[in-house]
Amino acid sequence: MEDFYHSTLSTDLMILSYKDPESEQKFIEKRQKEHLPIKKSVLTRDTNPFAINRPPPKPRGNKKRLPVPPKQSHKTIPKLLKIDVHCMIKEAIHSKQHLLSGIMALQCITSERPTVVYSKTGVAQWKLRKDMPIGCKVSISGPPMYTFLDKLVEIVLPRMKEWHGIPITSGDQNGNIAMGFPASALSLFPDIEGNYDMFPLMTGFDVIFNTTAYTDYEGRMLLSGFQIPFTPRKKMGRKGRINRN
Amino acid sequence: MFLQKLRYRIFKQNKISFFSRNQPISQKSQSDILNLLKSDKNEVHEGYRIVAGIVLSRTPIILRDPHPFEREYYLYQQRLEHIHAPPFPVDFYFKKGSVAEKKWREKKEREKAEASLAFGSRKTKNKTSSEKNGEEETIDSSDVSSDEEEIKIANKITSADLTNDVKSLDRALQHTLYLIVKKPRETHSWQFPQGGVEKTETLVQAASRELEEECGNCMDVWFVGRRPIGYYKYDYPKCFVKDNIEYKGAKVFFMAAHIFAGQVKVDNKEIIDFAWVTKQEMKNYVHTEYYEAVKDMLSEH
Repeated sequence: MEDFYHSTLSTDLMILSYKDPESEQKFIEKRQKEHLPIKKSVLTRDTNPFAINRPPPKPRGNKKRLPVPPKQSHKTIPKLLKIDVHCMIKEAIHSKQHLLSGIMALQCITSERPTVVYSKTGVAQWKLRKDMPIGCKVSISGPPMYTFLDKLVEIVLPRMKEWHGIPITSGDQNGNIAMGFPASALSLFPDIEGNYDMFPLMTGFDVIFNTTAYTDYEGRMLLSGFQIPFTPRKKMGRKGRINRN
Repeated sequence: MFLQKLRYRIFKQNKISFFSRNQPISQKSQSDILNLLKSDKNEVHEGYRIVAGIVLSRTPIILRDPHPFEREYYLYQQRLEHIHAPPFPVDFYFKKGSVAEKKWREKKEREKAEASLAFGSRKTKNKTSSEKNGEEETIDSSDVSSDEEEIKIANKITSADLTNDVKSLDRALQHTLYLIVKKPRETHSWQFPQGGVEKTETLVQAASRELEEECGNCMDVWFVGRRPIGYYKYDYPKCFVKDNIEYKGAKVFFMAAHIFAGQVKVDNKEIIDFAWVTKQEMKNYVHTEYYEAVKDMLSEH
């Protein structure tokens, strides 16, 4: 799959993701704008002694500050950096032993050892306290990543029921695309299918594709190049309406 | 990497070229006359006819053969990984005393004996590095299921390779194949399929129409984007210019496309022959000047 990327996909992505100089400049300026300090105050960032050696202020509102893309070149062709697989196990609140099942499942499907995730904050309603082990995650890159992606695309996704693809709205505006899987999807992996009985607890899990793309559009283009399906926006609306009824 | 860099630069240069649909044609006296002369619906720029060329390619179907050094490297990495891997949890995967466990243990013993006979030549059951070389991967999978059925591995060199049938798409599976067509004339006869852009058309529309006209509608083709990937300008030969004064030459904008299925049907009017060739083979067909102009947008693989 890595070879396929280098021989076929990267060339096509280069052609498809090309921006003409004008719109590229516009895009870069738009991103740069988010990084400017707030200008309302009389003192600018250069003259304000408070601002010296401090990080720039955050933008107002619930906005993220997105990185400024470099000028496009052969190095900026979107590429898959790593895949994060993560699962949160609710049952682990009561007994930590339930974590083991999730850890083993993730290790089976990704062939790498997961790390335990501890809760950052406590939630009283769930009886969750701070620093309790609550889930596990693993991030894979290189050949294991492509092996995992291959398994996902060839075996798991086609066999998933009532799933039409990743919603087209998913993404963090910076080319990283995430998707969630139900517990039933875990049993579709060939590594788990064989000894399904050995896992006492099946959990849902999230897969996050980290790409070097700077927009969701480019990230989606890369993933659909790897044959991951996306649902078009129209279909989603219709489906949503049906579900509500 | 370097090659890609070079190709990118050329790709970019072509993009910034002066031609754009919205731009008014320059108001020079010469082009004014030409504009008046131009009676048909073809797109013209500074006396040159605008032409859409199609770089129709069949992408590699199988993985390329690794370089001997690469092969050695991956084998070494694989052995290292095997040594440092945590022990296989037999109890987790097999029930104690089951037939499957017995079979697996027997297989492991056999492997061990073989490994001691020829150190390093044996492929271990390691999935991560097996995707590097496709041949060994298939061997691996056949190993696993050898009990149930034998998996036959198709030969990498097909019959079309042996007979050197350039019209077949099942040839040179490791490389990208490009479609070139032959026109009924003596010089510059072999080239990519191309045709003039009409006034109301975009480049993609013109390219797909020309492809259908010249090569038949029996192909499943996908155009990669709506932007051209290459540009080539040439002057028509003098004898040709005498006949139609309208054009000095042609400016060709190449569009990338992939073929998924189907085959070319020669119409025997505009083209008389076609061939699917790799970049290296193309040198023998097309004119040197033409090859120099198009070589940088073609894939080395």
